[in-house]
Amino acid sequence: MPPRALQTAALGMQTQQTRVDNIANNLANANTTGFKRSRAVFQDLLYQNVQADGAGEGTGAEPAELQIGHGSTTVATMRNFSQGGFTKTGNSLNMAINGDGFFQVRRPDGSLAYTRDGTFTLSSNGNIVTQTGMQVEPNINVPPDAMEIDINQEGVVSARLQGESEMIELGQIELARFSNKNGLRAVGGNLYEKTEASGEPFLGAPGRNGMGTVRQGFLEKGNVEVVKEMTNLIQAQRTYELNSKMVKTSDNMMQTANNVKR
Amino acid sequence: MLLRLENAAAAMNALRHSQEITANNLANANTTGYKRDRFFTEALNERLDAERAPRSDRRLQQVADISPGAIKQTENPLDVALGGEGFFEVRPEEGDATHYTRAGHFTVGKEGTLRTPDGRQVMGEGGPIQIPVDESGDINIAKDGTITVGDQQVGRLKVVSVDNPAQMERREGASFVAGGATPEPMDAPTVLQGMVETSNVSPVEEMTNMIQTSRQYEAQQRSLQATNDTLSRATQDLGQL
Repeated sequence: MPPRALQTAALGMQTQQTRVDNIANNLANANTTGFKRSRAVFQDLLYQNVQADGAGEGTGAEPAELQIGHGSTTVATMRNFSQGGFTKTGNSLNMAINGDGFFQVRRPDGSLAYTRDGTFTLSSNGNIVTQTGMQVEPNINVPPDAMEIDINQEGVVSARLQGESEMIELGQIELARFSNKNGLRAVGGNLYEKTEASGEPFLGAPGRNGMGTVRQGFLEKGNVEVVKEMTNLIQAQRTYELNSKMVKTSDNMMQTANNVKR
Repeated sequence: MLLRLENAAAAMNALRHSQEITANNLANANTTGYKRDRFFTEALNERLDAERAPRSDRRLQQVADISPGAIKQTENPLDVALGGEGFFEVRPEEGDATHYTRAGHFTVGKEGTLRTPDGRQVMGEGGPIQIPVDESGDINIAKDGTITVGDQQVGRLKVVSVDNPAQMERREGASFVAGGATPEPMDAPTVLQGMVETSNVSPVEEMTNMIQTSRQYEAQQRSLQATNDTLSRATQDLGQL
């Protein structure tokens, strides 16, 4: 007898394992600035049509057509881009987006990536860059003699230079929005890149046309809800256990079948 | 006597299929929009045989339980759940099959059309739905299934109702094909954006089924062995005469 129930249950265990892995990743990033939680999406597998023999003297009705499934598989992981909380850092180059939109950063290969992590700093030549040295787009250069940097909610960066009393404007932070941000691909390091599904970004100043506002001196926390993740974890673990019981029971049934002839 | 052997073997076979169905339900305890399979044994031709003993033919039957699963909020603008009855219509790339599903977990896929995660096209009232992701504006799906991107209306999700869902046949992706059922377009569906319907599998119930099936399987095996023992004793005793 083909151990179909055994395989089906094993696949059930595998999908729950994926779910646990995903929850573990969420929990591990509960304190990662700008992290967005994700969840795994499952689907059932193909169905086989089986003729089940009826029991009886053979005079009865036609055998029933059964459809036997083959378990489940992971088809996607979906990210949830809901707003995270804020932490005050007081660092004048830390920014959080309150609302929709992403910061644009230029990767070493010249392509653009998008992030919600506004932990910025100054490079050796005064450009605003990420912690890993990627330049924020459009580039804003802060002169070395800047004493005080101010970023307003609409993303205008200004500075007071040494010996001056007036603030001078240095540049404008531009945010990117997507019609379908769930189509973005996570590439690690808190960065996302556009795909065919996300479409091209539309750009704009913070606080206008649906863009969020920029908060200087704050960072956006991860949007992981620890209690919710823990509940999901318990659920996944229990379902894993149930599937493993099914593996054991199917094994016992096969043994029973083997013992028909003593 | 030989009939009893045959009966026990057939019962074991049916129980094996029951267990496979239960295993599939359990494996899909977290599958979006999955409808659990129920099985039952149908008895036919109940009668008395030559020895005046009751006899019947039996066969295992299966039916999808289409009762709704819990609705879970996901906040993804392309996730939709149906409040109340109905099915979304989706089409695989290959072939001309039409699938019906309540798993409203959609994404923008190949060629900018609305698709399921495994690449089947989601049907609108006028065919596949194009989502112009390059245009500025949020994706909104109204209660009646109308999809707008910004102020531009891009289509309306086709929702059908099925009178006799027991006639439908299963396909992968928590879907069904019409089979003997006749899907009719629904006038006023309730489409809920940012939510999905979870699996309607109750793990405890499946667990109970699992235990029950495995015990019945053992019982049938014992009956088979007992019959076999009786038969072998009969042949031995007869041989001594």
